[in-house]
Amino acid sequence: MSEVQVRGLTVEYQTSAGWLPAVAEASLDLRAGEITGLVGESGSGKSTLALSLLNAVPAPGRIAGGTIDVAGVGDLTRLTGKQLRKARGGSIGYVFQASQNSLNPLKTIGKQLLDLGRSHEVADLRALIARALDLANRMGLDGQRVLDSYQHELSGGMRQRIGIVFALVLNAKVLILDEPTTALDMLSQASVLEIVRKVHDENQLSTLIITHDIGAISEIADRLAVMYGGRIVEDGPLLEVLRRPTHPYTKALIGATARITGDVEAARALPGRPPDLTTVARVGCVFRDRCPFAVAVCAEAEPPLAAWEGERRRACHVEPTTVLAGTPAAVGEPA
Amino acid sequence: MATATATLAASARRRRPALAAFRKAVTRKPGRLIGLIIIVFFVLMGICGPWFYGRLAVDPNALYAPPSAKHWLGTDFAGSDVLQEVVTGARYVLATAALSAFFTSLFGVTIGLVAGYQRGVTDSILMRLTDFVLTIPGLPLLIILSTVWSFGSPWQMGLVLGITGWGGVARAVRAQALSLRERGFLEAARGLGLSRRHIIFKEMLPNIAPYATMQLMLSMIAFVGAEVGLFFLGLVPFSSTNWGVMLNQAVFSGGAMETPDALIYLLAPLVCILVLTLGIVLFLDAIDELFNPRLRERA
Repeated sequence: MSEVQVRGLTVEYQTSAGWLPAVAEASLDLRAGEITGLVGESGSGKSTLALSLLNAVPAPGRIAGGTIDVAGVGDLTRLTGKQLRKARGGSIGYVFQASQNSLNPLKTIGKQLLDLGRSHEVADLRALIARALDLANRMGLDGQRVLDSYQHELSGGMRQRIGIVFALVLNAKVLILDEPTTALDMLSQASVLEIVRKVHDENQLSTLIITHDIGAISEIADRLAVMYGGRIVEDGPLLEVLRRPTHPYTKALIGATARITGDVEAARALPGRPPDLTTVARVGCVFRDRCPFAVAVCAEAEPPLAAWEGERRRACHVEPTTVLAGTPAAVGEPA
Repeated sequence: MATATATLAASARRRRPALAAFRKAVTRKPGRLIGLIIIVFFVLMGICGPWFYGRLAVDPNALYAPPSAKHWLGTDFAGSDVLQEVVTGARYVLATAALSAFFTSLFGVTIGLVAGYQRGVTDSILMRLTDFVLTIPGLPLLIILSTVWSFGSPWQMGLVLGITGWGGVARAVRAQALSLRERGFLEAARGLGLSRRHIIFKEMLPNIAPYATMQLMLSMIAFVGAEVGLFFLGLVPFSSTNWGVMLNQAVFSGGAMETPDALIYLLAPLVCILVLTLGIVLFLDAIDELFNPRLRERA
């Protein structure tokens, strides 16, 4: 059952060259009990997609088309004012990029929690505090101390966890984490991800984790979606996508990952640069300039994101078997 | 549930925010304490001073008398006690300055915050209004208004000075709000569905509070100077005694510039203004710490 259904979502930004799509025709399901990882390079539209799930694309951007159906809320793109405000935090918990900086420096955590409760017209603030304490304790924080602290009295990892507490304290069933491990050291990264998995399992959430770290996401996600140039180019169950990537970009991305064991030289950088809003191809496949498999049709038609082998989807003109066989020498095999 | 209650109670006891923070910030450096004492002294003078004196007693036999046991600061052109005039004149001067500063801050901060946070059309409208206010020439307006109003009450003077004075504050606050609204915790507040009013007045306002408060106090100095100046120049008719009227009389009637007779009469209000300014400047030092918990902790 899908908690969130994104269909044909297009998000545009106004530039001097007119309205350009940062996310084009994206379709994605977040299912209850599943962690979906969304990976892609900087500028691939991951964060824009995530923000549009809150209907909070900052100006000069706008949601130009598509629907975002959230269970119990309806189409989020049509909500405005108070209804939208209630959905944010109430139905969808969002942990922001660099959420270490997401706390007001002048107020204690407990005070900010009460602000959140009042803003959402929570009747029983005591129960809210109790729930926050419970969440914090389960994440390995000393809840009592934390609620009495100012943000500068807490470490980066602790603040990150507070961000998750805030996102979940109102019983949101959907949790979105935008780059939850960026700017944390390796150990904090591991513990934050472990906590996300734990909280996710305990509350049967639908979780979306946005990251550029394919290594970190492979630790905890159930499904993987890969974005490039504002398009979702491949998605499917995590292990299947990692073991048998059928989109040249996914394959290259996995091939570029350095591993702790094995030969460091085995990691191959992807040649070329990722496109930005103004340089992304308008016609044809957005990846064709960097694609070792590109054929003539790639320049003419954009490949649709089509179902393949049961639960998987891919957007590529080239036959999956060709990509899997991996003939072109430019792309390294995953070690 | 029991633990939650305990936490709330404990935090209330442990933090006791406003009062403890205030005491700590003020007593940290002696200068701040002196500043506060000076400010409190003048506030009390403005409130209670007139209670100790009845109507201005006029002693025609002692014009421009030197200081004596009876008249500590001597007398003026009409034989009135200068000390009494300084004390009773404080109320009008301080009330006007406080009201002007209050109106300036109220309009300036509110309009600046709303414009900076909302941006777009709201911002454009509010900023055009601000530009309009910035271009109103205050002095000529006061002269024209003085043909209608007597400015006998601090409210009238305070309102006029305040309403013509908030443009600069609004612009400065808007600039801060524009930067503040992009900070992570405000993005998070929007993402968590906090209301706009809450974000503007409960999240952004405390973050610019040190600036707004300093602005309020510094503008009090400026408004004291402005109104005293207006009276000194004789641009507004005076119906009561205040520091500006005293300066005017000392210079233009008493000839304080030529003879030493009226010197004390001239110096008394000037010294008052100087000391009040000193008090405010010394106290300003404590304001950052009042609002920022991080600065408060530094030993």
